[in-house]
Amino acid sequence: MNILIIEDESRIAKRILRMTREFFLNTLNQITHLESLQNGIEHIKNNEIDLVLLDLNLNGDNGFDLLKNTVSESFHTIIISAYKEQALMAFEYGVLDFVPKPFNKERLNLAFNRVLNKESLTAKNIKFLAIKKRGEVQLINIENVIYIKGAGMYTELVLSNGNTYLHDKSLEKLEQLLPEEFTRIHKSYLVKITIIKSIKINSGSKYFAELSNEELLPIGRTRYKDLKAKMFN
Amino acid sequence: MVFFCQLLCDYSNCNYELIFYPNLALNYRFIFKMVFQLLKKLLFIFAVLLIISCEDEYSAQTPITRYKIGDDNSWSKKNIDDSNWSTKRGNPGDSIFWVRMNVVLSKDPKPYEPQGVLIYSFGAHEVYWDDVLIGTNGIPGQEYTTNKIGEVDRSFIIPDSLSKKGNHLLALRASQYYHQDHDRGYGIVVSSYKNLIQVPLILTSFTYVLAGAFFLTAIYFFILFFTNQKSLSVLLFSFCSFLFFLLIIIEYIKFYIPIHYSNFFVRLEIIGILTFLISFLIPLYFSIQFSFPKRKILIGLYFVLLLFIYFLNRGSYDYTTKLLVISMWVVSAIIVANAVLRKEANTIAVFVTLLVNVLFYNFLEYDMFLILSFTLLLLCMFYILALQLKKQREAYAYSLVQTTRLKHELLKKKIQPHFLMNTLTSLIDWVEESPSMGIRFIEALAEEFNILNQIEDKKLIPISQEIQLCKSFLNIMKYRKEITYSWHQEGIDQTCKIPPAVFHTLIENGITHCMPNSSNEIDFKLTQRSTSKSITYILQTIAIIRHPDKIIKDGTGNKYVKARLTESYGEKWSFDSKKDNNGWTNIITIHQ
Repeated sequence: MNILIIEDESRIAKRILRMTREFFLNTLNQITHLESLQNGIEHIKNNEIDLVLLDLNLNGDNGFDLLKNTVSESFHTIIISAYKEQALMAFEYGVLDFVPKPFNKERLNLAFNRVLNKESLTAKNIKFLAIKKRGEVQLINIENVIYIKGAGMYTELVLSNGNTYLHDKSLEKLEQLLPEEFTRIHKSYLVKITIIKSIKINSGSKYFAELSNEELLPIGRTRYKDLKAKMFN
Repeated sequence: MVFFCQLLCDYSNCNYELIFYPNLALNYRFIFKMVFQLLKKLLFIFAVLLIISCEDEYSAQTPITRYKIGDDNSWSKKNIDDSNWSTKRGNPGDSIFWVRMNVVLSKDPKPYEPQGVLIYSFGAHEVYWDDVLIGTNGIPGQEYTTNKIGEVDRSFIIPDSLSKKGNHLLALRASQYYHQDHDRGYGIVVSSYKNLIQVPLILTSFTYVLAGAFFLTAIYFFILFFTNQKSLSVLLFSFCSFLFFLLIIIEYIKFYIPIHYSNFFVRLEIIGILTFLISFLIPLYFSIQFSFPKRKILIGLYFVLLLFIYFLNRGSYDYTTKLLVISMWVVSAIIVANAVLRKEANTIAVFVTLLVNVLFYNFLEYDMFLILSFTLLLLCMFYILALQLKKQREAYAYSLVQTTRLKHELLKKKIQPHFLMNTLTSLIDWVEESPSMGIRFIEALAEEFNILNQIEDKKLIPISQEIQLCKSFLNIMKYRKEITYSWHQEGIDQTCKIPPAVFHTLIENGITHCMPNSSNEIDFKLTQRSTSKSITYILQTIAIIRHPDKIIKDGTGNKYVKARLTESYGEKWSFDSKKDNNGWTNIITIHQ
């Protein structure tokens, strides 16, 4: 596990470092603490990272600038901030958790557990998926996303207008962040359930979901029952 | 109605011209003037209706006048042949001369209504109406032995039996001991005696109502100057109003205080000087009120011009005052037009007033024009004053809101999540890890809130208290950031006061935007330099700037500092914040 902590208050950073080490113990490969946004961005570019713990107000710089960057990356982001009212907006951007200051060990561990257990968020307020396009971060409104296709380490977002975008997060991670209406119908497909028009069965008991745009997507054998239950409930 | 024009322009030669030589005037100019006269009359209808409620007709007459130097009692008789008498006065010196003129009464007077004759003249005289002595105005021939008796204009009752319709003879046995070479001519008005006495007084009473308004204005603006607005323009306006009050008083004083002809010019001299002062001060007032660029040069030139006009035609009082007043309005119009072009506030109203005044000047007699134009100007200034007061009231209300806002901002500094939650998180950590340090941290926090409590609703606090606030804040930050913050001060005058949390805010900025040096230290140094004219505070943050290339915009911190300085010192301060070799320097200068 490679973890990056971006926090400008020395005492608080030490606290986070200590608690993180206590939680991850020997699964922790590398843990880095940086004080500024610039250094953080630089570090993300040059290092393999699994989790970022980010403060939103860093020496007068706005952490949302970094947030847009981090959420477009393959790793999860957890915010640790004094500004509770920014939690909603952070979730809209697609962070895994928002830990308000002052925090204790239990609250931080809860956030870490979400990372490890890949447990889904209870309240899903995500509104945007941040993608990197020509070096810039662009926000895609999830209302426009009809399904997401796994493509190796990456995913491909398919929009209602037919456009497709690559995202750095894996299908598993996105499933964690995205609301219930995005249902895993196949190991490679996460589909917005409202977009499915009908389920078709081909010879050889192969199931397909027909989308409102006539496209056919395969349904995994094991996931058929769940999908059917969800659709007809 | 024409009477008024003549009544007012007692020293106006041009108006007499029309009356003295009516036959010459039947040309273009005359017709033109007649049209103007008609318009004047229309404009005057309202005023006249107010002033005259009598039906009697007024007509100032200047019958052909014949003169003869010498003295003979028979020269008062109606039917002697005076055809060989001179139509010019000649130069009688101090000796007695006679004046004869034929007066035509066009109708019989109403029964039991005494008629009178008003005579404008220069000198002492006995008045004979159809050979009957009806009164005296001084004693002709004995002026040097008697006191100065007699007036420039005086009314006499005509005996009832001699006021019938038809031709009459007015003969004056006269002498002119003073101003012997001044031939002023004679003018008369024949009307009911009551009107001759009453009408000038009614006119005077109405203009004196205006004079009272000017007087009160002068007092009002004078008090305003001393209690409230210490601006020169307010004082000038007060002074102008007072001068104009004096001008009206002096102008009309002749109607109720007898003026001997030897003193006739004293009044005109006073009027001339008053007009000169007013003509100078009104444009000066405008130039200050509307902050005319390069004011001193223009006003200097204008003063020279006025002096030139004043001494150019000494003795032609009416001509001189007219020129002065025209110059005044022209220069005022230039100044106000310039202000309109520069989009100064409230100038349009003044400019329109000046334009209306030009119309007045064309259509009204000089005196009426002056009074009306000044009255309009006064109304205009009151309008501007009302607008200014409204602005001041709004500014005051805004300043109250601003003060409350700044107070909230000061309190918010300590309860805003960034400060409070980060402090509490650090505090929890200290308590968990090292309880004794945690206690010291809590004590530091308590001190900060304690000072804040003492200063929160003050506009200025002792500098020692501000330093204490800074030190306790650095103490808190030491526990949070685990950086050594040190405080130095030099030349601090403990008696000085400063708006609350100004240095504190600058220190916050320093902590946010600077990194500690290699020995994990940030130094703050406050230096005070005082001169007789100003106090300068220099607050240096000796550290490494995080983003030296970043363009510095005014953040909430600097805005707070500036708002606080404005609140306490108006515009008498300057604030500079810049990086230097050692880190960051803030310079606040407060001008005395």
